[in-house]
Amino acid sequence: MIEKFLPEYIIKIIRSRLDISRLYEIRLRAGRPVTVNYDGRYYYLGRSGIGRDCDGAVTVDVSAIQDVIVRASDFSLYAVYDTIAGGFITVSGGVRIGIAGTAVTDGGRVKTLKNFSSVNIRIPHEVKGCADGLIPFIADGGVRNTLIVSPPGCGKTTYLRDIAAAISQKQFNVLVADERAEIAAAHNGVPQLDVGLNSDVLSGCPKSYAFGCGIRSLRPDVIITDELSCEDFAAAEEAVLSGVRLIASIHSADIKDVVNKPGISRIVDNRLFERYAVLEGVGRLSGVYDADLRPLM
Amino acid sequence: MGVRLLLFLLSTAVGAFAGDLYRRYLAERRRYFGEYRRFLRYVGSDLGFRRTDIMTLTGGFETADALFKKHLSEYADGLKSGVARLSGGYLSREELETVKSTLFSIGRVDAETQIAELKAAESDADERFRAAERKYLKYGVTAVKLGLLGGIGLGILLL
Repeated sequence: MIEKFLPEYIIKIIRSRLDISRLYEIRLRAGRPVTVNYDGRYYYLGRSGIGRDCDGAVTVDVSAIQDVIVRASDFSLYAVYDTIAGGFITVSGGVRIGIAGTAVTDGGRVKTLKNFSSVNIRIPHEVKGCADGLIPFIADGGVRNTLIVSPPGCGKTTYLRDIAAAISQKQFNVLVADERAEIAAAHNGVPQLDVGLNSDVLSGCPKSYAFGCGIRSLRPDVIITDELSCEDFAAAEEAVLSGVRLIASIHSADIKDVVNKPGISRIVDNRLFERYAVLEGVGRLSGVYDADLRPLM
Repeated sequence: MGVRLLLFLLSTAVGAFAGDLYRRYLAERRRYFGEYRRFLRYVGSDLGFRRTDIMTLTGGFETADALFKKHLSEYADGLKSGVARLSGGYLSREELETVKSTLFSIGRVDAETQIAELKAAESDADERFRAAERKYLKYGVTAVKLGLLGGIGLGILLL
C-alpha cells in the first residue's frame, strides 16, 4: 500500500531494513530528515535503517512531498481537495496521510491546503480482540452508551474498531460515523479495516449529519464514532433520545479531566453515558466506570 | 499485350488503394478526435458530480479507436512512471503535444479549476474534430475516385 506513493529510495530502505508490521508512522518534512515511528518510538531513517542520530538520515524535498500526495490521490487532487481541507487523505489499505501546508481560506473557512510542506503517513494495524476486556461491561445483553476516554495515541480508534466488529458480530446493526475516515478507513466506499459484517459506514461527513440522517435512513441499533467534541454533544443527546445506543471516544487525560471539560459536565449529570472506559498507555484499559463514575473494575 | 493489361489492372488497383488509404487516414483522424473529445467530456461530467480518480476513469473508458486506446494506456503508464510520453501515430507533432499536455495536466488542481480547464480543452478538441470531419467529407470520398482515375490514367499510359 505505501509502495504506491512513497519515493523509491525510501521504499527500498523500508523493505530491506524494517519490519512493516512494527512500523506505525512515516513522517516526511521538506528539507529535513525522514523520521519513523517504529515499535512506538521515533527514529531517524537512514540508508542502513533506523537510528537516533540525524546524521546520515535520508531527507525529502518539497517536490517529493507534493508527489506523495498526488500519487496517494491516484493522480487526482481534484478528488481529494475536500478532505485535504480537513488536513488528511485516506489511501487504500487504511493508510491515513496527515498533511501540513498553507491554508487557502475563503471567508474564514479553510477551502484547502496548498504548498504542502510535510506529511505524516499513519499505517494502521488492526488489533483484533483488543477490546475483549471491555465488551462484557458494555454489551451484556443490550449495548450501553459508552465513552472511551484517553489521551492521543493510546489506541482509542483501534478500540472503537474492535468494539464495532464485536458488537456487529452480536447481530446489532452498527453505524460507524467515521468523520475523519480513521475507524473503517473507507476507500472508494469500501472499508479497508474490519468493522464487522453488520456495520454501515458514513465517511467524511459531520457527526450531526451521521447522527441525524444516518439514523433516519439506516436505522442503526448502535452508533460508533470517534473524537466527540462540545459541538457534537447536542446531536449525541438527540441520537440517544431517539433510542439508538452510542459508543464514542473523547480526548482526555483521565476520568477527572473528562468531568472538568467544558460542556461535558452536563452530559455526565444527565447520565447520557452508562459506561466510561479509560485507556492508559497504548491500548491498556485502566478503568471502567458506571454512569455515576463509580469504578466497576 | 497480356503484360500491359496486367500492368494496367495493377496500376488501377494501386491508384484505388492509395486513394482509399488516404480516405481511411482522414476517417481515423476524425474518429480519434471524436474519441478524444468524448473522453474529455466524460471526465468533465464525472468531475462535476462523483469526482472519480483519473486512473479509474481512464480504465473505464471504452473506445474502438486503436490509437486513442494506445494513448490512454501510455497515459496511465506515464502517470505511474512519471514520464509523459505518447506515441505519434498519424497525429502531427503539434496535435500530439496538445493531447499529451492536456492529459498529463489532469489531476493537478482542485475540482473547480479542473472543470474549467477541461471545458477549454474540450472546446479545442471539438474544433479539431470538426476540422477533421470537414476534411474527411471534402476529400475522403473524392480521394478514392481520384486515386482510381489516377490509376486508370497511369495504366493507359503504360498501355
